[in-house]
Parts: sequence; C-alpha cells; structure tokens
Amino acid sequence: MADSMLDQRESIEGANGIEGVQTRPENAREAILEVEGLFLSFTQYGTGLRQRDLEVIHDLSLSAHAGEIVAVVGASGSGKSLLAHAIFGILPDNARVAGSIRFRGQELDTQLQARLRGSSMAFVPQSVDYLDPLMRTLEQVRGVRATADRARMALDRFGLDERVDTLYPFELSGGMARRVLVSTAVIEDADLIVADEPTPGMTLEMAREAMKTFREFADAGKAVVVITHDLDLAYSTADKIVVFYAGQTFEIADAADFRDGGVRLRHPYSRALVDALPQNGFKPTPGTQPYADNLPQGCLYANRCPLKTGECTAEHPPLRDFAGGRVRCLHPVSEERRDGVWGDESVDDGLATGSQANGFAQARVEPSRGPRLLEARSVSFSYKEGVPVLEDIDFSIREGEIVGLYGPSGRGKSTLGYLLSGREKPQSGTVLWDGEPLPMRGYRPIQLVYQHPERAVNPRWQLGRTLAESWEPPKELQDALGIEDAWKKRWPNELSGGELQRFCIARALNPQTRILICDEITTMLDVVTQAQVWRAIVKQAREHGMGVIAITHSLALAERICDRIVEI
Amino acid sequence: MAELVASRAASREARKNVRTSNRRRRAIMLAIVLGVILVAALVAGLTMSPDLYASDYSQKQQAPNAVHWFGTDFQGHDMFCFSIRGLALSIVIGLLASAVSGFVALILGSISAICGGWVDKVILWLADLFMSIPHMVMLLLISFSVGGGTLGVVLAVALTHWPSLTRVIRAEVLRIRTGEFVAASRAMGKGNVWIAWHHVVPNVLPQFIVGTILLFPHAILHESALTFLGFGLPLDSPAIGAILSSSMKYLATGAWWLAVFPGLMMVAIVLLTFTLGDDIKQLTDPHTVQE
Amino acid sequence: MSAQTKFIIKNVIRVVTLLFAVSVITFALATMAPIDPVEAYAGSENHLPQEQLDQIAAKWGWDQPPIQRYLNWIGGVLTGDWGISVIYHRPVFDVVGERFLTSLALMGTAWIISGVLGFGLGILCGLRQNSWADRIIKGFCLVLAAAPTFWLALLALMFFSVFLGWFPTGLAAPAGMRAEDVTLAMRLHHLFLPALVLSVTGIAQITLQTREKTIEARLSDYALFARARGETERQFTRRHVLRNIALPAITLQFGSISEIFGGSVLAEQVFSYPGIGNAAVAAALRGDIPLLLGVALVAALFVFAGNMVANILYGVVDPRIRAGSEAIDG
Repeated sequence: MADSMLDQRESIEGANGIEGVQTRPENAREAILEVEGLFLSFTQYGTGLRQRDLEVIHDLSLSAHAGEIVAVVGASGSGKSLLAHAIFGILPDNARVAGSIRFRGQELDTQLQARLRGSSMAFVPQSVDYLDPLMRTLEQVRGVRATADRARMALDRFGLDERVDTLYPFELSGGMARRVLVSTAVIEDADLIVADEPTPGMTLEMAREAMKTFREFADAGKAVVVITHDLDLAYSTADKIVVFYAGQTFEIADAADFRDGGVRLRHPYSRALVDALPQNGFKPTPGTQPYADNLPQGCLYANRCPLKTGECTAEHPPLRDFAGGRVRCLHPVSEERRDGVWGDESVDDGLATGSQANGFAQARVEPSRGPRLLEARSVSFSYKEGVPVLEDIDFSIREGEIVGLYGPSGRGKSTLGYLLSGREKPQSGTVLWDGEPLPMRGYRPIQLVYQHPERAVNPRWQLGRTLAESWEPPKELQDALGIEDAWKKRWPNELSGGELQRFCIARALNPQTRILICDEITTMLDVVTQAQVWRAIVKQAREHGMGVIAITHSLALAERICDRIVEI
Repeated sequence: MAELVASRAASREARKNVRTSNRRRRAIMLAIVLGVILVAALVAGLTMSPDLYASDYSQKQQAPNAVHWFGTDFQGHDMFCFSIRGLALSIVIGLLASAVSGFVALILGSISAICGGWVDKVILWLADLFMSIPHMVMLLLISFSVGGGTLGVVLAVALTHWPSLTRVIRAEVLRIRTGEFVAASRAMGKGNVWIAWHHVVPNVLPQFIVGTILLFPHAILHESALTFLGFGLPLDSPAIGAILSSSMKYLATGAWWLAVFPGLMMVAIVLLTFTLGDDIKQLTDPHTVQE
Repeated sequence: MSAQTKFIIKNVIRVVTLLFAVSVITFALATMAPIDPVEAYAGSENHLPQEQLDQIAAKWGWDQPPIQRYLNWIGGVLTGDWGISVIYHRPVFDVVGERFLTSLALMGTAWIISGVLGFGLGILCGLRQNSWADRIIKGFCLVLAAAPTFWLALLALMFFSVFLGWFPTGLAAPAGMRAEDVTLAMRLHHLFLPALVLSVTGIAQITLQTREKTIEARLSDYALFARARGETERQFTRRHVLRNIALPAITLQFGSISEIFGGSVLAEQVFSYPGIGNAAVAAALRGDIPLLLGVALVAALFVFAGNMVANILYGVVDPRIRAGSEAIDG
C-alpha cells in the first residue's frame, strides 16, 4: 500500500516537473496543492419545504508549490476559512463541494483526506480555543500519530521547555499558545501546512517574526498556505498572494506585484486593497461585498468597479492568465492602461490638503475656551487580585487631537480605554475630564466604540432604533460611513460585522461626543472598509473639534490618522 | 479571526437554517395545537357536569368498553371523565404554582443581579438552601406545616419551584446589564429605568416566559405526587394522584385500567407542556425570531 | 494557603451555615403545623386528665417558647439525642439510622445503575446524533422524564408482580420472617423492582444531559482541529469527549442525589419498602414531629454530602479551578 503510493507520488512529480517547465519556469517545483474551480454550497431550506443551496464559494482556484508561502487574503465572508476546511475535509455535514482539490496531483477525496490529515497535511488553527481545554500541552501536541519524544522536540524548537508540558491551554500566554499551535504542524512533518489567521492582534513586527517559522517550513521544501486578512503582512512575507472576494479568486499574483503601490496588479479590487492601506492612499471604495444569497449576474465586483462596462454586469468573467499572473476580470489593467485609468488622484474628502505628514487638516478648536483635557493620572487596574493589567499609567488627550494608542494585544490598551470612558473605575489614580471627575449623568462627552459590534447592539432592536438611541446622523455622515437606508430596518443578525460596526460608529459620532475612544474598531474589517470608516471619523472629528483615541495594533494605521502616538 | 468566526457562524447558521425555516413554521403550528389541547382539557374539566363523573354503583369495576372508554372504578366513576376532571384540577394548581414561582423568581433574580453585593449573596444562599433539602421532603414539610389539604399542596408546590429559575434570571440579567450594548446606552445618558425597560426586559422576558412554562410540568408532577402520598387533594377527589393512590388497592384484582389510563393522561399533559416550552424557546431565540 | 485548601474551607463554611439554616427552617415548619404534639403523643382518643397532659408537655418541653424548644432540640441533635418517635416509640436516631441503611441499598443501586447507563447511553446518542438509536433513546427518555415516578412504580408492580408474578408485591423481606432468617437472595428479590423503577427514572435526565454535552464537544473548535490532525471518531471520543464530559457528569451524578431521594419516597410508598422515605410519609401523616425532623435532617445531610463530594472532586479534577488560573508568560 505504502509502496504503491510512493510510486504514484514519484510519477506525479515527474509529470509536474515537465508541465512546470512548459508554463512558468520559476515554478519548476512540484505543485503540492492545486485547487481548481472549487464550488462550495450549504443546503438550506427556504420558505416552505423548498430546498435550496446557498453557494458560498464559486469557481475558486489556487495552487501552492513546494518551497513557497502562499497568502490568501480577502475580507471576512470571502470564503477563506471555508477553503481550508474544504481542503481538510472538516466542513459541516450539509456542505457540498464540487470542483477539484488535488494533493501532489492526486484528487483529494474523503479517503485520501483521512489518510493525509495529520501526516502529510497540517492545519494550524488561529487560537487557543482549538486546543482541548482539559488536555496538557505535551499530550495535546503529541496527537495520535507521534511519540512524546517528538512532541518534546517540536516544543523545544520553539523555545518551550519542559515546564509547558504539563500546562493546560488556559495557563498558556498568548505567545506561548501560538508557538504550541505551530509546533503541532512541525511534529507532523507535513508537505502542506495551512495556517488560518496565525497572527491576530499582533503588531506587524511580531507577525513578521511569527511568519519566519513559516518561511523555515517553506525553505525545507514544504508548501505553506497562510490565510489572513492582513494585506501588509501578506505581501511583506509571502511569495504569492491569492486575492479572494465573495467566494471567488480574483487574482493570483507574485507578492512583489503588491509592492510599489501595487502598480503591477491586474484586478481593480487588488488595486483597491493596496490603495486602501494606511501607508498608501488610504483610499476607500464605496459599496460592500455582495452576500452569498444575493449575488449579481456578472462580475461580482461590478457594483464597485471604476472600470465597469456593460459586459461586466452581463457576463461572468473567467480566471485567466494575464501578464505573469492570473486574474478574473474582463478588463484587466494592462501596462498601457495603467497610467491613464488609475492616475494618482487623491481622494477628494476636502481634508487631504495641507502639509501634515498624515495628510489631514489640523484640528479646529473653539478659540474662546481652549480645548478641554481628558487625563488619566497614574491609574492602575486589575481584573484579578495580584495580576495587574495597568500599573501607574499616565495618559492625556485634548479635544481636537487624534492620539494613537499602539501596542500588541494583552498590554491593557482596551482596559485603559474602559477607564478613560468611565466604563471601569481605576483601583488607584484618577481620570479627569476638564479637571473634574468624569461626568456620569446625561450624554457622556467621552464615548467608546468596541471591537466587536455584534455585542454592542441590542440583538432585539432593529438597527434604526439602535442609531436613534443616540441621534439621527445627517445623510452626509451616513453616506460617508457607507450606511444604506435599507439596513436600518434590518435586525443585527442579518448584517455583517463591518455593517454593524458602521452603525456603532455613527451612533458615537453624535456632536456631543468630545472624545471618541475607538478600541480596535477596524481590526475585524478589511482594509477598504477600514479606510472608509476612519476617513469618516477623522472628518467628523476635525469638523467638530472632537478628540479621538485610536487603540490599535497597527502602526501604519496609527501613523496615518494620528497627530501623536503613545506606545503601551 | 473575524473571518473564521464569521465563516463558522455561516456554516453553523447554514446548518441551523436547514431546520430553522420549516421548524419555525412547525413551531408556531405546534404551539397553537398544544395550547388548544391544554385549554380544551382545562375548560372541559372545569365546566364538566358533575353527573358525568358521579359514582354509579351499577356500573362499577368495568373494563374499558364503548361506553366507558377508560373503564370504571370500584365506585362506578367513569374514569375518562374523572381523569379529565382531575387533569383540569392539576392544570389549575400547576398554573397557579408556576405563576407564583415564576413571579418570585423574576423578582428575586432581578434584585439579585441589580443590587449585587450582600443582597445577591443572600438570595443565592436562599436558593442553595431550598435546593439542599430534597424537593420531595420540602414539599412534605410545607404541606405538613399547614396541615395538608388543598391549601397545603398549592402552597408547597408554589413555594418550592423558584430557585432554579431565579438563578437563570439572575445570570441573564447580569449578562445583559454588564453587556456592551447596555454600557453604550448608559454612556448615551440613558437612566437605569429606561435601560431596564428597553434593553433588559425585552431580552430577559422570553427566557422568563419559557422558564415559567417549563416549571409547569414539574409543578403538576409534584402536585400529583403529594396527593398520591395523601397530603394533597382529598383522596376521594378526582385528582390523578388520588385516583392512582386508590387504584393500588385494586391492582391485585387485575383492574389495570385504573392505573394505566389516568397515568398516561398525566404523561401526555406533561410531555405536551415540555414540548410547548421547548417550542416557544425556539420561537423566541433572537437568531431565529426575525424572519 | 493553597487555592485548593481555600476552596475546601470555603465550601465547609457554606455547608455549615446552610445546615444550620436547614435545621431552623425544618424546625419552624414542623412546629408551625396545626398538630398538638401532646395529642399526637397520647393519642387523640385519650381520656387523660388535663394535669397529666400538662405533665407530658412539661416532660418533653412542649410548654416552652419556640426558640427554647429549638435550642433544646438542636442541642439534643448535636449530642446524639434526636428525640423519641411517637409512632415507633423508639429513639428517632435508631429508627432513622435503620431505615436509612435500608434505603441506601435501594438508592445506591439506582444511583449507580442510572449513572452508568445514563452516561453510556448519553454518549452513544451524542455520537450518533439523529440516528434511529438516538431518536428512540431520546424519545424514551423524554417520556420517562414526563412520567410520575409513582405511576411507573405502579405499572412495574402491576406487570412484574401481579401479572407475571416474578417479584413480591412489597416490603424488603418476606413478611413475618425473622430478620436473621432472611437471606441475601430474598433481599435482592425484594429490592429488584423498586431499584429498577428508581434507576429508570434517574436515567432520563443523565442521558439527555450527557447527550447534550457530547454533541457540544463534537461541535467544538477543538473537535475541528482534532479532525484536521487526523484523529478518527474513535480516537477523538477517547481522547477528548470522555475528558470533557467527565466534569459535567460528576456534577450531574452527585446532583441527582436529591432527585433519587425524592423518587425513593414515592417508590418506597408503592412497594411498602421500609426505608426512610416510607418513614417520612408515615411521620408526616401521623404527626410524628421528632421523626419528621430527623428524616428531614438526614435527607439534607445526604444531599450536602453529595454536593460536597462533587465540589471537591471538581476542585481536584478541573485544572481551571485547581490552579486558580494564573497564566505563565513565555
């Protein structure tokens, strides 16, 4: 059995080698994973007993070769994680898969999946939740296919000594947990490693450090697929980037194509992604990704595309080779068209003038009074006795100022936000607004927007009501935030996180807000939406002399929007 | 992370939706049917002419037949009508008991969550106290303290079913009160009363209703048990517990129908309300409620 | 002081205050009853002169104010003098002890059988969710949960004892036989039906809840990861399911003690089984306040013991409680 498999493998390698030479010389290496025309749908019942299929992935393709890191990027809901689940055969029962997934040229059917899972293919999950909460680390890492010695070696490799062997997941710090998760992939000595969002909440520096491990894997001849929504990270560490949108592959490009402002990119959406990065244009694109149950006829990006023609809404574009990459677009951006069509026009938001490094106008403050000050004086806080989250911290912000609070997860950034907004009281030290204790009656001048919008709206209220609890924002602001009127009649569970977050932000942009604290509000969103909502916030802040504290782990974002950055 | 959460939610959602839509329709139908059956049994039992279940010695000890579907007992009661009457009594006591217990639970649970501190501790301790004596023994004691009888059983059943629901409501109120959307509302200047009415009540009410409905089957089971033991309704009254208690004397004579049918009717009513409670829980789930 | 000792001490303090409150409440409830203890003692048809009745009252302290009477009683309880049973004319302590041991055989058997079977069936159903076996077992459990215990006891009695004649219709041993002549086989023969009924009623809850927990484990993120790492269903069950449902199972199993006690009151009544539940009913029906108090106290102690064992086991087994959850940074 094992012998025959080996034979097969070698013959496939040979075949691939020839094919590779013919098409792309630089990819002469063996293709480990090839996904071609993948469709994924969930069986549902519509009204009555009529059965229907909700198609969440349509005609999706990618490939990963030995020795390379392939980054899969896309907004949430684009089908990134489902792809990983499809590769490993761990989709729910009502999922149906069509199309082809091949592993070393061999069709990955259920039997092959069962044989390869945990030996030739390794999955690196994103958080400690994927570990059995009641199993000790060594046993956990060992799995069912390795010995304790090998598990020990794998942990050693990541600098985790014997002390962690007997720890339970809840006893691991964030950094340790990540290393434990990655070590499960080492032990399996796999040819293919798929990592699902391995770097959430890390600063770019830390994330790059983490990606080094994957580079080592690739250098050892493995194929690595990293699923991420962090475009920065993707193009600075991967070899190849696959852009997903609404369950489709839009573009497959070398990572280098994303550099230099993405001038070599082929698909308008890829360009939009690059342009939306804080360090680039920070340029928003109106509209939202369509839902799986309400897809347009032709190109899925047509409703947002600046290059759209009549054909685009009529015809479904195929994925095709173009200028050294692959693209799904009827009018891919060629060399000749590049300058004329894209130009270098800046976004006309009326603020991007002036000489500030960040490109935004300076604050307008009430001249008569002078800006009021929100300050924390040597505050300390701990949720649990003896485990301080904040110790003796000073912080201050004036009305009209935009201050970044920057640092990786777990440093107490959110807690400081809670203290400054009055949601929590410091155990020692004081928080003062204009020299007085925080006002707790009436509309509070200090408002907080949370990271998870699903928790910040009443699940039994329509969103219009949620908005009206604060104020009725003018049409202009709603448009700036991309809120559609129809959404106001919807219930929270009918909208995506990005859509809900826009409501939470609009609610807090009430002119009575003097300081707005934004706690990682766009961490869960794609870069295009991030650019859109931040532009709206900054505009509102400048117009009303409002202060903003931007809590973030993204230095690029902080540098883009802030007057001043405080590291914590 | 959002990605994975979203896609897992999507796949879970999809999995759930396989059942949701037709389940929702079925749930509404079921709720109506179950409600109608309960009300019918109640109305039939309460408005029934006493002649229908009066004793008639000429008809005593008959096995089930075309006239007496469930047979007759040693005093010639028609067991079908007698049992329906008994069920109606049980339902009345059950309703009363679940209403009282539900009310107590709502008040104590809310106070516990809102006041916190020592009030919370005392209420939790009280709930622990009630749960640390076996329920049956507690029922016996309370019934005994007022000298048994109808008053005893009503009091006993009404006063002992609040602890578990109190805990549920406390946890739920606490969860909502400390939740982010309430914190946001407070930051927008809304007062405690406003928040309680607009945020907490709409989110706790469904849980409370379902919890109260699910108390009902426990209440009627305990009522019948107390009556069976001789502490509840008088033993010559048409109550399921009393009927089963007297049936014991005739088991040896082979009068199986005296035990089987009244008990089955009890099981049917209890299953019915269990199902109704679960069903309403489905209907009020915020993830399926809006369609 | 380690987190574990702290945990145990906290538990002990809680139990002591609760037990004290239980004694107050039961005493208050029992003495509130519209029953004249003197009459209950002397019999309602007595023709004793008032003088003599007063003497009886004075002898037992029934003429004293309630608080004094409580103190007398609780003092006695603590020193082993639980009073004299009115109906058995024997020390309550002896009656309760004897009866409790008889019941323990019944409750213990039912507790173990319902626990083991319920756990097994629950896992089976959870692993094979929506299979026909799951549907049948689940439906059966729902019906069992909806059926009054005493009715099930009646049906069992009717079918196995009256109709088939396999088992005796009541008592813990053949009537009229001297205790030393009763064999173990005879005892088991009498124990079988009540234990069966009690086990069956206990199974429903344990099966349904274990089923839920198993399904929860199967839908968890760690289940997804385990599958992605090549664990088979069998390996996953052995490595993860058992581990993760063991804790809820402990809570459930020890929490069921209170239910089993209640069930045994009813089952003992139907089978005339001379256990503590039977004594409770007799005491309440015939106004035997000292015996009723004794039974209530033992019942509460029994439940407490169960809860305490469960809590301590939890503290020992669950690493999250044991360690007090302090993360070590690496």
